[in-house]
Amino acid sequence: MAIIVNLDVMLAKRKMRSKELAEIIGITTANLSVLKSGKAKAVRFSTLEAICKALECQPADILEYQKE
Amino acid sequence: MNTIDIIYPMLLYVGLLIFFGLVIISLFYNKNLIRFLNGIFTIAFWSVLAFFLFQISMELFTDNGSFKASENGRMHSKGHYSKGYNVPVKIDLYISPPKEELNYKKDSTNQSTSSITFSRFINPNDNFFKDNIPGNFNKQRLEAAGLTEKKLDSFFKNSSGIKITGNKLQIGFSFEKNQFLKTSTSSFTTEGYLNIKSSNWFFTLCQLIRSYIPFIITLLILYQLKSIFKLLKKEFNFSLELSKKIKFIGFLLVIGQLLTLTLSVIFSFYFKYAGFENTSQNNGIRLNINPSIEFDITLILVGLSLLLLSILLNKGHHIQQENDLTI
Repeated sequence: MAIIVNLDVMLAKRKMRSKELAEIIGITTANLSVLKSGKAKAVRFSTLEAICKALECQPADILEYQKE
Repeated sequence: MNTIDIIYPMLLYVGLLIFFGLVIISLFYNKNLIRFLNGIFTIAFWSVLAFFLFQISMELFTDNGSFKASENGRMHSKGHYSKGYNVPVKIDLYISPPKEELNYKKDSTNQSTSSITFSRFINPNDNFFKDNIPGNFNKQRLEAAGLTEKKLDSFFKNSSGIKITGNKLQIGFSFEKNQFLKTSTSSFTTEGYLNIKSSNWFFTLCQLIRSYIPFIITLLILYQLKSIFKLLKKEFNFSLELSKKIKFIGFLLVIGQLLTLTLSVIFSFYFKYAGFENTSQNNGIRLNINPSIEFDITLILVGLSLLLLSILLNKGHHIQQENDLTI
């Protein structure tokens, strides 16, 4: 996919564990790992909002477009 | 009657009622319904399989389709190559009232039989009564038939219709004609099977296919249903496997019906050697046996609907997958 999820980078910057983030935004760790590995087909605005709120960042910090 | 004789059946009845009531109520829950259906189809599959294997082994290992099961009983299989196989036929039975028949009401003075109607023939020589008057007996005729007035009277008392055919006194089976009711020709049509053994290899092959294909198709369908409900029991969800299984069942239904139709058409080509038409048993009864085209349009429609359902399920699976991967 041309859209890359940079959640790992953001998590590392904020020194937060995936499990913590999953708990804060209220999704399962399995789903979070789907999102991190790039297997996800779509992201709900509500999830994106929760992630941005938890990591104090912008959507652009998490999502990136690269030409294939 | 003993009270226990009444109480036990009552208890049994109430128990059964409660049991089935609970079963039906519990079926309203998805999970229970799936479990119930899974059980039913598992049992059905294994019993049909057992019967199929029994049938096949009887065909292979016995000479005439039966074996000695115990000291005084033999076990028979449904069909065997030595006896021939069933071919579907349509049976028409026509029954018409004999033309010579007349009906008379018995004297109303005779209270016990006032409501009874009985039949007799127009030909006066055939009658038990002189000049068509009930009670005025034809003695000669009575003696010839070995009857007395009293005996004849008792016949009339106990039966609604009495006829004379030749020298015989026939009781029962009459078409009553009165001012309210008129019975004309009645016919009964039913589907049945004629057992035919043929020396023609092609015909026998068709018969073999006809008698074993439904078995195999039923087995395959039951197996698929069993695994579908097992799958649903595990996970109540759309899946590719579910769609494939339903598609398979749909194909089986359609193909099975088309095959049965083809075979019954082939049978009807050969039928002039096997069936019969217009067999008269007597004036009143006529029997026809003709080939029947076996074809169940309902099953074809169900099969086609299942094919459509499988496409829908496939789409459902894709949507489900998309939904699962939306975080």
